[in-house]
Amino acid sequence: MLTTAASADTVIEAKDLSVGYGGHAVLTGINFTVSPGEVFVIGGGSGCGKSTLMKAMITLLPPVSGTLRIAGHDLVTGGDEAVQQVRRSIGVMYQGGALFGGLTVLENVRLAMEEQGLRTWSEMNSLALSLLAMVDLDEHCNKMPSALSGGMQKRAAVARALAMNPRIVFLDEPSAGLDPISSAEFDQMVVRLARSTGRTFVVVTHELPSIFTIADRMVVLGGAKKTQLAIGSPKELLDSGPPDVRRFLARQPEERAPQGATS
Amino acid sequence: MPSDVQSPSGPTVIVLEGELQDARVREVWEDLVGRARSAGSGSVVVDATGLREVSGTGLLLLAELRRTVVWAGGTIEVRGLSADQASLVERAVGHKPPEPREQDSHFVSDVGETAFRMLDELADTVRFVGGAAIDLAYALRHPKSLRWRDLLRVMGQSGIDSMPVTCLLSGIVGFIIAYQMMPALDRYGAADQTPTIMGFAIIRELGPLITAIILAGRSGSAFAAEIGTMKVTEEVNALTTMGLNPERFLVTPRVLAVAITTPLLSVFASFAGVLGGWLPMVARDMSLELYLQGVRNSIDQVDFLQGVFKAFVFAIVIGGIGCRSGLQTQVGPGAVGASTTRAVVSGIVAIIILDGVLVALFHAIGI
Ligand SMILES: Nc1ncnc2c1ncn2[C@@H]1O[C@H](COP(=O)(O)OP(=O)(O)OP(=O)(O)O)[C@@H](O)[C@H]1O
Ligand SMILES: [Mg+2]
Repeated sequence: MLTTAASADTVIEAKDLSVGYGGHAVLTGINFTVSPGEVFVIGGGSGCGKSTLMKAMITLLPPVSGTLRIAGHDLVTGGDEAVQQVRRSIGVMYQGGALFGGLTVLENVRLAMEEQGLRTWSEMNSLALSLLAMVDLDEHCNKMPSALSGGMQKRAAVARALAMNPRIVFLDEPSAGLDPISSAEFDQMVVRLARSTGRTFVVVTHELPSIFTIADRMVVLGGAKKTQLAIGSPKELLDSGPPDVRRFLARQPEERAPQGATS
Repeated sequence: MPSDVQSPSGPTVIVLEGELQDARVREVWEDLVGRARSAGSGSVVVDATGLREVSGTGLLLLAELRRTVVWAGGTIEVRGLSADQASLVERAVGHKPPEPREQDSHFVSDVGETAFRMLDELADTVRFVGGAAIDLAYALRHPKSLRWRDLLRVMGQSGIDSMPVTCLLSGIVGFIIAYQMMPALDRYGAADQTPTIMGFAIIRELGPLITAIILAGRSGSAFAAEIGTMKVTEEVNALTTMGLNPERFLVTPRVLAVAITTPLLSVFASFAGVLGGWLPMVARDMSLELYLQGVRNSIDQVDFLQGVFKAFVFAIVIGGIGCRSGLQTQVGPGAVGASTTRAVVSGIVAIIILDGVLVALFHAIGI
């Protein structure tokens, strides 16, 4: 693999990456690259380290070792400067939406623009409104977040994540807490946004229907030592991935061999 | 009845018959586990063919037997369970659980550890409050960077809304002090000196202190709860990844708001306290004019400003500690509550200690 040549057309690159808490690795041996415009899914069973990996990518958790390059900035060696640069290149939808409770939906979307202070008031408003229209929330723009359903809050959070025109959008567990229909609608929205804006989406999820709908490629985490099990398109992995990964994608629990019994 | 047949060379056989419900499980638990243990690394057969009813705890007992034997290195066979029951019992041997951690608590090392933790905590708090004060100065020079809406909201809550309770409390404390002081002063025939004492005690000391204690209870706790909730719902993370500094965004407006309102509030509280001190004097036929005149004569501007300055410092410390507790909120259902409690307790402890330090300092520089 020509990793150096690849960096021109990759937006995320992880090499021998270990992530964890307090300098103690939880997840090791991560190697993948994400190309611009791709919808990339981070999957795996509960507790395998998906959230930990995502926290490292969105600069909330310093990586333990290896290389983690987001939008061209290395979070391992780049220090504070790289962290600031990465924050300017990403938008994040948190699992529960994490909308600011004291602001209306529109103000939530507008906030980052306001703080940047480069646009006029009417520019910001019309931008925020058109972002909200993209997620079908323009008519609810003056409501407080607490007056929205969980799914609407998540969509508003997506609009907020898109506000600063990020190169990469991170979505944390978009299906969590949504009914199957809303979840499917959300998936279609993600695909639509990815195709129409050409942005890269990184989605953490363990919902199989979502994975098969949205993922161009995915990485599956897991194993006893918590590492990367496989990388590829969901279809490829289901057909010819390692047994653990196929079991995950086919929703088959592992057979439990009885231990220590004579019978 | 469970019985066991020990054949000289063969396995230990435990036969279970009848029912194995909760009451009976309790009776036979020790006995059966003991027998399983005494089999050592030999083999054990549990014959449950004759069991008619087994409760959940009954299955737990079977699981415990299995675990005991397997971990001793032996082998066990449980006969006569349904497939579902058997699969539950078989699960009992997965990973060996870690030994429960020993609670080693030595009084001396506990005290030492706590002291060190408190010192660390203190250093951190001082750093944070100092940082908040610096951010505050920055915000005052760059007023555009300030969240005005938050500022005004907190000023309303911490100032106007707490005015009645602060004044009421301070008035009552003033009344109590004057009332308790009078017999002692009477002994020296100095009851007419009450206004002097009230001026000193209330304006230099109790007015600011009472205001600060109420501030800790109302605003310090509110800051911790608000910011703590934002931490739990990942709103603080959202600010961070949006490139907005949570400290500047959440802490500065709150600390600035209380730094503005508390000195004012303290002036009102002091006045209410002084007035409260007049009430017992009514019985002595001291007119309000005369009383206030006495208070006026006892203190000068420096005393007054000293009280205002104290209130200002207390406000920054309590606001800073409240916000810091909020930002340090951990995950879990009790986390926000814990942060709130910590904000109030450390806030009150901090201002009382600080008050002592300030008194000594003012004395040293002679004001
Ligand atoms: N704050 C923390 N400090 C230390 N270890 C942690 C912390 N948070 C999570 N872990 C550990 O990291 C591992 C991975 O957790 P993580 O939350 O990343 O899993 P996940 O894949 O997101 O699981 P889920 O699908 O259930 O959300 C777990 O073993 C967990 O014990
Ligand atoms: Mg997670």
